[in-house]
Amino acid sequence: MPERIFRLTIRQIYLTANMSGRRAANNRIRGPQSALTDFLASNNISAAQITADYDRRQREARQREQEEAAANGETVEQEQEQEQEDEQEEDEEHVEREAAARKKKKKRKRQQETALTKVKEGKAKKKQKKGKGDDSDGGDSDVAWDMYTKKKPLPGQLENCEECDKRFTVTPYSKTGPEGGLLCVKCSKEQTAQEKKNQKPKKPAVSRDKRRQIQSNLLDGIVQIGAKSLQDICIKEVANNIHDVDEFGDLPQELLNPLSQILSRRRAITSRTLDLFLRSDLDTINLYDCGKLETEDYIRIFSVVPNIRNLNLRNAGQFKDEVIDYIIERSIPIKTLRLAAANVGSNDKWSQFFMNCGERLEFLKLTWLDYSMDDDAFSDLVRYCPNLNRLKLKKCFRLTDAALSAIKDLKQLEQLSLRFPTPNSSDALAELISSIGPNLKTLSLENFTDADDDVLSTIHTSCKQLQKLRFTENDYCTDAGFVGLFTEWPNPPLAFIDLSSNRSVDYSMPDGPEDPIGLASAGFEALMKHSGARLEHLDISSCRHITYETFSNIFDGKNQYPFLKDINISFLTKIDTAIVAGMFRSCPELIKATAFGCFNVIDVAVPKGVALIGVPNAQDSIVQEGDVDADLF
Amino acid sequence: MLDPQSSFAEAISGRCTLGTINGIVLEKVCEYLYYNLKHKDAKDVPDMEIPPELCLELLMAADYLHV
Repeated sequence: MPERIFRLTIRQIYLTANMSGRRAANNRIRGPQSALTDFLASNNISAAQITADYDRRQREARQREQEEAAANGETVEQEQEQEQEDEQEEDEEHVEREAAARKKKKKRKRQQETALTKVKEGKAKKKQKKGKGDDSDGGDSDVAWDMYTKKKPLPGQLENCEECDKRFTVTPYSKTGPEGGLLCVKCSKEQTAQEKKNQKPKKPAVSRDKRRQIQSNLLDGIVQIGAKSLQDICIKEVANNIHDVDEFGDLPQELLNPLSQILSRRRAITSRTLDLFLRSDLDTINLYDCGKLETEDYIRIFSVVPNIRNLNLRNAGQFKDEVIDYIIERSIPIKTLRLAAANVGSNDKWSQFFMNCGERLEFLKLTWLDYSMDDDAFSDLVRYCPNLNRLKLKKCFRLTDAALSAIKDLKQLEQLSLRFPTPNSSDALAELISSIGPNLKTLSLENFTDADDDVLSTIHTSCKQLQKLRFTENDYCTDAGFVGLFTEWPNPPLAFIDLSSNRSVDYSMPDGPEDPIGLASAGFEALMKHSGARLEHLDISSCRHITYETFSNIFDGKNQYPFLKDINISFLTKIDTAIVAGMFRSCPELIKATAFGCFNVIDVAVPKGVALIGVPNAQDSIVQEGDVDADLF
Repeated sequence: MLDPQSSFAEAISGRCTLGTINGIVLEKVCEYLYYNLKHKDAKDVPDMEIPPELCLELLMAADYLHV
């Protein structure tokens, strides 16, 4: 019944409210109204309705309570408290009810408390199962501890902070302090910050990118101990920001070279970046990748740097006749010319160049000229370049025996490096060496497949001051020939020896003939006996007829090769871990050992500062701490 | 240069003037020296952060000071 009345009034209010504000309210005579009531009414909110709703809820709640109490005599404490607050509207029935409830109050409270503890214990157990060792919980996963901690207030209630004793409102996000009490917002934040701080040094995770960088450096033979030099760091940083650099200023010439190397490696040498390297006071230009430069850019090099003496350009595909013309025209004083892949210049232009600029040339290195220089142009080179003392020719496809023989007229030569495209006659080579050999300090002969023992004996008799010898990719010379070369050779010990790939390649005889072909045991022993004392670089990769016994004799850990820094033993499949360990002991100065395809080298302990490259199992090198003289045998 | 045994002016006065290096760059150099000492025996040291606008000047200074 009363409900219906209320509903009616609600309806009336709703209707009257719709009929616009004050008048609607005024229609019903209700005495004076406050400004608030007026305002609420104008916003379609009725104070009367709110009061009515509240009354109704109270009544309903009381009714329910009575019913429940009648049924099982239990009720919720909170509701009871509400009732106590609401004394005005108590009716008789309720008073009786309350009296009855009060009688049972103590008993109920006890019951409730036991129930609550049970629930709490259950929750704690669940929590522990869920996230064992979860630090963010503040270490409250311990059940035993949990049972004795203070009862946590529910969200919305007020509590004093455990840390700072300030009063604050509990939220679901409030953190638990170290004593088990709750923390205020400020202290919670501080606690999280502290936890983060503690977690930080947990794992210095090596990123994938960094690991790649480490491996890449290792392949370059760089094992860095300690920080890079400040110069290196700065050069790298400059290279990273090359597009924001307008000019290098008066950067020393020596620093331009490493910058050019990095930029070339990134293929960042363009018309724009080229300008950074051009300064009229320079005399050296090194550009290792000119792939993006046009013919005009080359001409600009000579117009901006007219006094250039040392020029080193690689991948210089657009280094055309016009550029050579410009050099001749301005008589650029080039002394050192290194060109790679400048393969569109014509023969005539090269002849003209040698004719006009040849006298000044002291060092000439031409590689990958393909078909742009033939024997005739080369004979002009020999004729017009009398002061040449370093000559390197590789992959110039049209040069033949005639060019090889012509070289013998270059009497000033001290360094000679050759790699010819076609097999040359052994006699021509022997003749060349016998005529210019006495002056030579460097002799590098790659891929002279037809050279025989005569060439080796000519080197033995002619060369008296070699420091560097390379003789590779040959399957004709015998072990006896190498023994002859190194035995009682008047030449002082060499610093650099590369005899890689001197071996028999007859597939029908995988172990080679009885008298070994290529560098084998006896030759290797003679080599180490002759040069071991001064040797710095040794490459004997693929000389597969050297026996295990020879290796273990040479690298026995007692023989010392005090200057040996770099050794390549790739594809010497007989070498095993013990030999490599002995090698580390025999070569105290070793910094780089290349051992691709040595499948018996497993888990070798690498001394600090040594880069061991290519061992089969991809793994971080096991760095041996302390002295190398650990017991390996 | 600052070795008391030598009779360089810097050793006597105990003062070394680096006229070509400005304060900001020199501070960065000192930072590097600390960084270098800290990582003396470490492997795979991360590179020191260098502000790009400073790197050229710093490079000149590093070259001058040989660090």
